[in-house]
Amino acid sequence: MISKLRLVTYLMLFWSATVMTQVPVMVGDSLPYVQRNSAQTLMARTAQNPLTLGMYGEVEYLKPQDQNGILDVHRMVLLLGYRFDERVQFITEIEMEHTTELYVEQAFVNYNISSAINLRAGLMLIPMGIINEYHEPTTFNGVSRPALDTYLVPTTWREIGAGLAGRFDNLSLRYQLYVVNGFASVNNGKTLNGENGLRNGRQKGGKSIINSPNFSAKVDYYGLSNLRLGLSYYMGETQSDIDLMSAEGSSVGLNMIGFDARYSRGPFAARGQYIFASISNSSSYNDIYDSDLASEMFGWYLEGSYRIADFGNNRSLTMFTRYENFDTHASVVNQIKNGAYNRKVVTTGFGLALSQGVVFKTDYQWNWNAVNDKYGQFNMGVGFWY
Amino acid sequence: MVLIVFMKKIFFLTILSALFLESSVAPPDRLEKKLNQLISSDFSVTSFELHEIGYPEHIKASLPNAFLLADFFRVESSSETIGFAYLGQGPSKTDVYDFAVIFDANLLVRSVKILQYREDYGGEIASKRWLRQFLGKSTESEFIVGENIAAISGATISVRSMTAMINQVFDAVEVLKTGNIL
Repeated sequence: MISKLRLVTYLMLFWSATVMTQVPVMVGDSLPYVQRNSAQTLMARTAQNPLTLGMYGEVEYLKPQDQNGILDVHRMVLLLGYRFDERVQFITEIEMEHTTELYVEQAFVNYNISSAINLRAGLMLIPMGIINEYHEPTTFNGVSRPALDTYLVPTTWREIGAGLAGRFDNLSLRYQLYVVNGFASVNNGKTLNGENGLRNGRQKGGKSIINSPNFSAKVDYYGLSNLRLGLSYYMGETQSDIDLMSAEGSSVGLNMIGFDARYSRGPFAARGQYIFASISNSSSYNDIYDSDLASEMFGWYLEGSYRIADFGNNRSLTMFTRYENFDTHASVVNQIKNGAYNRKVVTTGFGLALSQGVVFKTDYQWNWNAVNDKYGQFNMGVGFWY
Repeated sequence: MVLIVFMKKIFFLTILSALFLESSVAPPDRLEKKLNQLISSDFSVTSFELHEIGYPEHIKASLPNAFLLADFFRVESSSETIGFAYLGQGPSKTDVYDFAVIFDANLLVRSVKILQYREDYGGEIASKRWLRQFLGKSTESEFIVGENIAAISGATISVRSMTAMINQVFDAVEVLKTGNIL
């Protein structure tokens, strides 16, 4: 009762404060006095098409050494947005993978209060590193996404949740803060493990179970010329079956931190990413589920690219090289470290942009690890985004 | 526990007050208000008049459509021209954004501001630091991303768009200068 009373008092205070701050605005002495000679000229700028339609996709040819080549329509994604008014917008991405698997990649409502405050709820991308958020094929080099962004950061990583996002133009800062659902401890019989890390735990927003909310945040800073820096953080427990919840090891705790940098100047561009994940309770988890999940994973990559030729009209030829090193068994508890999970990948190749939204890609990759020798893979692909 | 309840309350009240404060302003007013505030602070004046600039037909023919659809004003204070204000719209990835370019009386850029950016992609162009690159420039200048304008990773489309918009406004102002309209 008392707390209700207090709430009402707060509300009254806020309401009065709101009215008070608005009074001078109405009187007009804090605002400039403006006289227009043709008051009707300011266009009705809201009369735009409220519907947003877009697509991106990638078709690939992958040829690993001594194995069959694979031709794949890897992704076709339909982007749909609808603006109900200047403040309320709904955005969704519907994805078809390998021509048969249908997913919803994003589906959220954005309520724009100001450029600094947007309220969001729905299925959203987890901001971790570069690729999970910026994964359209024309925005990254190479036919496939960096391997680190498959095994360590399980792109496309999305969860249902709600939170805040916005920009501070004075500080050249962008932020995102979300409360979301987390990975499943066991997902349709598949466990979190040493090879894939957390990837098998992605529930993808379909009848996903929850009993412990997770937290995701990212800050991007672009106030230095040509440079953009990002700091990501994710924490929370995995979700487990309610009957097992009390058992030690039925879930693991996850702390993941990411740092990324992107630099671009003239024809030269570079980007890099560092990810560190610490997993608590992995030993009991492995006992229960007979798995080999690590207690720590880490990885990084560096990539440099150079635009060799610029043909005008957004047509250009770019060459790139990327070095990746990631270990999904960086540290383990009560098990033997598997050296095969400490992987290194070198990718080098070309991107031929035919317009702002179309790119032909070709590259060669060398993969190796602490146990196995180098093996190569040749890739070709076409990607588009509009 | 008490802390959590308290935090929840604060969160709730913050959102509520935010809704309260902003929802009373209709979108076109919001834009107009932002433009007026920008002009007011740029020239340190509290009262001014905006006069729409008219173009004769033969001049219109050599101006781009986007420029004709936008608003271009002469800013007057105490019966004296203190500057010019352009309020235009540019395309972002899948939407449009509103921006203003304020010129001083000598047609040098006094300020550039993104008044309203609507989509998630590319909002970085509203960064004050990035927009500062256009300040003080004369309309004879031409901007090229990656040469005299810095790129922003993750906002390539909007960076190109905004740079093209400024180039377009500059070209149009040059046409108006040559035609003795300004």
